[in-house]
Formats: sequence, structure tokens, C-alpha cells
Amino acid sequence: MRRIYKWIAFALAFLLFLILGSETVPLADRAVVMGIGIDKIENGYKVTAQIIMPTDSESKSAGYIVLSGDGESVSEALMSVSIEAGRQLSMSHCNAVVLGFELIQHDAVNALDYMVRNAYLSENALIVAAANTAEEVLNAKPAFAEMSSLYLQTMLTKYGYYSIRSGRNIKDFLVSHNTRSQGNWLSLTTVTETAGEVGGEQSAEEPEFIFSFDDTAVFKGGDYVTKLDERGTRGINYVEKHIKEGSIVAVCDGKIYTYFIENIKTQKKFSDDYSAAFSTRATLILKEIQSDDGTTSTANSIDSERNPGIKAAVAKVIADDIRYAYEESKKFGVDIFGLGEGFYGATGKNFDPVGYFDRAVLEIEVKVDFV
Amino acid sequence: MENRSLRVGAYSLISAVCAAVFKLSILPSLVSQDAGKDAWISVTVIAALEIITLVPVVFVSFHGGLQAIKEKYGNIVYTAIIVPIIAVLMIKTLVYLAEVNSFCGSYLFYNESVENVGIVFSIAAAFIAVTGIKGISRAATIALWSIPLIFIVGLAFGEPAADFSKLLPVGVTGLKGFAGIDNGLFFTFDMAPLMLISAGENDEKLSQGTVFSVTGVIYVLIILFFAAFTAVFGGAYYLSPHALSSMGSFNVVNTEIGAVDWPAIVAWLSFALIQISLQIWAVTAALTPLGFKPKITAVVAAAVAATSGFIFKNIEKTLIFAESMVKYFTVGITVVCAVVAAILIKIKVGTVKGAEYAANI
Repeated sequence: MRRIYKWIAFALAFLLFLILGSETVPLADRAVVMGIGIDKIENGYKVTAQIIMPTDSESKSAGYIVLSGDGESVSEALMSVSIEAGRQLSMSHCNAVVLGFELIQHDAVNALDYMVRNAYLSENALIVAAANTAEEVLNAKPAFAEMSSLYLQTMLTKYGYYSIRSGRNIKDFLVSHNTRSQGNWLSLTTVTETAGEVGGEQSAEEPEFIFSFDDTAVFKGGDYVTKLDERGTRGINYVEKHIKEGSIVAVCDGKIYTYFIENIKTQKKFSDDYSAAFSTRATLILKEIQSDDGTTSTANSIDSERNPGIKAAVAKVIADDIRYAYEESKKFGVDIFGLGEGFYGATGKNFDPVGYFDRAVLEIEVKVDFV
Repeated sequence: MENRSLRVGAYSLISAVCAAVFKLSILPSLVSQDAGKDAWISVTVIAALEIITLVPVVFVSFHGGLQAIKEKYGNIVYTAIIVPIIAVLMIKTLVYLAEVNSFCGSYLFYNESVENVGIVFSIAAAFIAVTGIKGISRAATIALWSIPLIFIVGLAFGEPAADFSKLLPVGVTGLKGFAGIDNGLFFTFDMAPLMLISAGENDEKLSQGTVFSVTGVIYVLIILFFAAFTAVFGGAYYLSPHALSSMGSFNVVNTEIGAVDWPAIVAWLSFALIQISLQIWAVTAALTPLGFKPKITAVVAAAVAATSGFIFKNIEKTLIFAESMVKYFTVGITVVCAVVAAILIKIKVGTVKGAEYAANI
């Protein structure tokens, strides 16, 4: 093909691309949503959007605003936010979704429906539950960060490998929801206003908040049923996540051993007799030993190995946390570890969908290594 | 007329492209609707049927392509075969381009209308198509380099998480597990363009076996991809309108780097463009022996393809069409024409290799 025709073809394509129906919306006319919260209200939903704005040298806070809008549906509520902002909402950078406590009682999955179908919101976006309202979480300025949505992502995604943080994304939540057991969980976030100065000068006009992620909201069939405390959160994470940070305290022969976690991971096996075997492998680093008289000393692995009973003691701590999460959830009929799906894989067409949970026997084996 | 022959290696690459590209986008989600966790079984069945269909297709290619039928049987028989093939090629081009339009207009970019994308893509596809089959194969060879980038970026920044126990128990969905591909049948049997290629030019070392080996490996990888899709998404397959892009995100999105699915998007868009170019080229290659000018034919075909954005304004409308009876038409025509062409060539052309026809056409 002659070179001139190629250039004509390129020029034509470029020209068509520029002029044919391309709706150019400048960045200044867009509201870039960094985090979104959904609350249940009397006549529908309230959506709170944390929108990033161009920074202003006279502004005291970071360049963002928080806007809320109501609607009978989530999309209608988002539209009202867009109208209030006077800009087109851009969801492509929204990586955090907060569900209010009222919403998660009955409507978590339905509320996520719009988020799921919005092509610009990634299914890998973080999703958390709020102990109060999502609006409160998104309006709270963290004591250690600029924006709550970014702070949530940092704490639960970037540092999600901590034993007491159960960060999940939308995909994880909906995949768990679409299983036979429909047992599910989300990090339950609590915000508390700081009492005094934290990390610098406190402005009376801009209170700062401490965010807590120790608790976990437990769901069945998409509805909230109970919450687990820090111990339950650890138990879930030991099984469902690959833990690389955290601490474990074990008592042996009157001494208190504190270990840092290097690695905890669990393999699950399911049998057709409805027995589930969890095999947890833990690699720990001994940090200190507290003696009977209260004195503490730094220690290393040799000190661990001198005490033959310590491995069993540590293993028992981990196993007890897992068992605690399982039993506390089971009280509310929640199959938190997805045993149903595992038994279905083992039994096939003989699977007992109604009675499997009562018949289930959970065996936990923990193997501990010290480094 | 431009040369329409390829060496075996290049032909194998084109065959692999036809086998893979449009199976890795919307098909896993479609198949999972019916087949559930046995989606990988459905695609295994279709892979086997495609390999069987590839036998007469490759035979035709290695004996001069469909043009050999014109030489030996005349225009009427040749026209009777290529008309339905051209219909299949154009229908598939419209639908595949509509899928690309929706992906770009609804998923990648806020501000682009699907009509726009369709026009620009068809111009690019026409440009590649007029470079001939050698130009298309060169483009495919270059685009291959984007595939390792998917894994490099994913392993560097991603946090892949797949639970293969979700595939158990195997075969529990019964007949649906085997026939789950029915919904997505339109996105299979894309080998019609191969019949317009004359393969084996000056190739003494490689043979038809090479084509089946390469394509066979690709089918195995496709099956593994479907299995991995189920391992990641389980019952929530509806979350993924584009499987390669979703899987290519490797379970991560964050503020610093965004999503890591861009290598997968670049790779898929590149190969989608190559597949659509190939189909447009095949239309020109089919009509050129009848006296049609190839460049004009390519432009007309591309212009028709450009209407995809106007006909199918969103993916839902595209799927309604693709899931209609047209899916049986496209598959049936491809299979029947491949078999009939192979029989005709076997009768009159015999064992004369394709290189001679490539030189003489």
C-alpha cells in the first residue's frame, strides 16, 4: 500500500476519533470519587461520596470534600450527589466501599448490586462494614492520614496481612455469598474521636478520629447476624488469609511467651463423612519472655526450643482462636469457614444441604515452627 | 493479488489466535450460567469438536486453500461455498467488533461512544487487512510479546487467589456441564478464515502436525483458564463481563498503581483487532478470485463492520443476537463448508501440496 494512503487512513481515523460524538468532560468537571458509603434510610438509601478536589493553598484540609445524597435506589442517591457536586461522578478511582450498620442488617447484597454493575468500579475494591453509619466513617478524618477512604485501603488492603485485620474486596464477599453456606464476613470499622492531640496540632474545627478494625461483622445469606471480637477476627484470618504480621501470646510453665507472626496459613480438607480437617502451619519469632516475677527479657528461638511444652501451648492458642470463631458463628447458624461448599465437593449428589452443619466435625491441627 | 500463503509456523500462530481470542472474554461468564463449576468441561467438549473440525480446515489450507476449488471446479461451485462463509465472517465481525466497542466504551473509557470505537477500530482493521495475511501474521507475532507482560506485572503487583476446590465435585451438573457452551456457541468455531490461507509454503520441516500441536496446546491453556476462572469467581461469575481483564487484575486494585489489568487489556485488544482484521482479509481473499479488487473489498467490509456500533449499542443487545439461532448458523456453515471443501479438494486436487497453488494463483 502506498505510504500516502496509510497516512490518509491514520489521519482519517484520528479525525473521526476527535470529532465524532466524543463527549469531552474535562477533569475540572468531574468529581473523582475515592470512597463511597451506603446507608439505609427510611425511604431508600443515603450515599456518601468522598470526592477528591484540586488542592487549594488556603484550604486547611486535604483536597477532598464529602457529599451525601438520598434516593429510593443507590443510583438515584448517587445522582443526587452528582447534582449537589455539579459534576459528573467518576468511579474509576473508587477503591473503598463502606456499608452502614443499618444497611447490613438486611440489604448488603442488594445495595452492592449497583456497585457490581457499574463497570468503572473494580470488583477488587475494598468493602467494609461500619459499626454506625458509612457517612460517619467517610466524614471522619483519620488521626494518621488525610482521607478515611485511603486510610481504610492502607490498613485493610495494603496491610491486610495482619492477624487482626480482615480486609475483603467486593469479589470475595459476593463469591462467599454465592456458595451453599452463604457464610460471610466483613471488617467492622469503628471510629472514635480522639481525646487530645494525636500526631501534631489538633484543630478544634477539625476533630480527628481513631479507626478500629478489630471486630468482624458476620453474615448469613447476605444479612448481618452477629459480630466477632478481636479473638474471632484472628480465628477467621488464621484460616481464610495468609497472615504475615501479628502477635501471639502463650503461657507455659508460668512464663508468658510473646511471639511475632512470620507466617500462618491453613489448608482445608473435607471428607464425605462430614469431617473437616484444618491443617494450620505457623512460623513464629519469639520476642520476649515474661517471668513469674514480672521481669521480661528479650529472647530468641533457642529459648523457645529449651521449653518442650511451648510449641503445644502456642498451637493451642491458635487452634482455640480458630475454634472460637467457628463456634461463635455456629451459634447463629453461620458456616463461617465454608464447610458446606467443601462437603459438597466431597459428597457430590449425596450432599445433605440441611443437616450438614449439624453433622460437621471440625478437627484443627496446628504445626508450629520457630525461627 | 497479494500472496495469501503462509509458512506453517505463522499459520499455526493464526490458528491459535482464532482458537483463543474471543473465548477469553465474555464466554467464561456465559458458559458458567448453565454449566456452573463444570464450565471447563463444556469448553473441553467444544475444544475437542473444534480440533476435529480443524482437520478438514487444515487439509484445505495445505492444499491451496479455497482458491483451489475455483481452479478445479469453476466459479459456480466456488461461489456456492464462499457466499455462506462470507456471511459467517461478516456476522462474526459485526458481533466481535460490537463486543470490542462495548468493552472500550463501557469499561475502559468514560467519554467514548460505541459508535466511535467501532469506526476507528474498523479503519485500523482494514488497514491491517490490506497488508495481507503476512502482515496480519507479523502483527500477531509482535502482539505475542504482550502476553508475558501480563504475568510479569501480575506476579509483581498482584495477589492471585484461586481456590481450585470450587471445581469439585467434577461433573455434578450432568448434561449442563457438557452442553453449557450452548449459550456461548457463537463465540466458538472461528476457524473459517483459515480456509482462505494457503499453508506450507516452502516448509519442509514443519507439517500439519505442527498446526495441531500448537493449537492443541492453546486449547489446553483455554481449558485451564476456564478452570482458573471458576476457581476465582465460583458462583459469582456474573461479576466478570470480560474474563481475561478480570483475571488479569490478579485480585488487586490500589490507589498507587490502580489496577494491574492493563497488560491483559492491551494484549486482548491487540489480538481482537488482529482477529477482526483476519476476518476482513478473509472476505477480500474470498472475493478476489472472482474479480473483486481487494482494497475496495476490504474498505467495504470494514465499512459494514463499522456499523456494529450503530446496530449493537450495548453488550446486552449484542448477546441477544449472538444467543439467537444465528449461533447455529455460524457454527453449521463453518463445519459444513470445511467438510465439503475438503472433500472437493480431495477428489480433484488430491495430494498436490498448497505451495504450488500459492505460486500459481
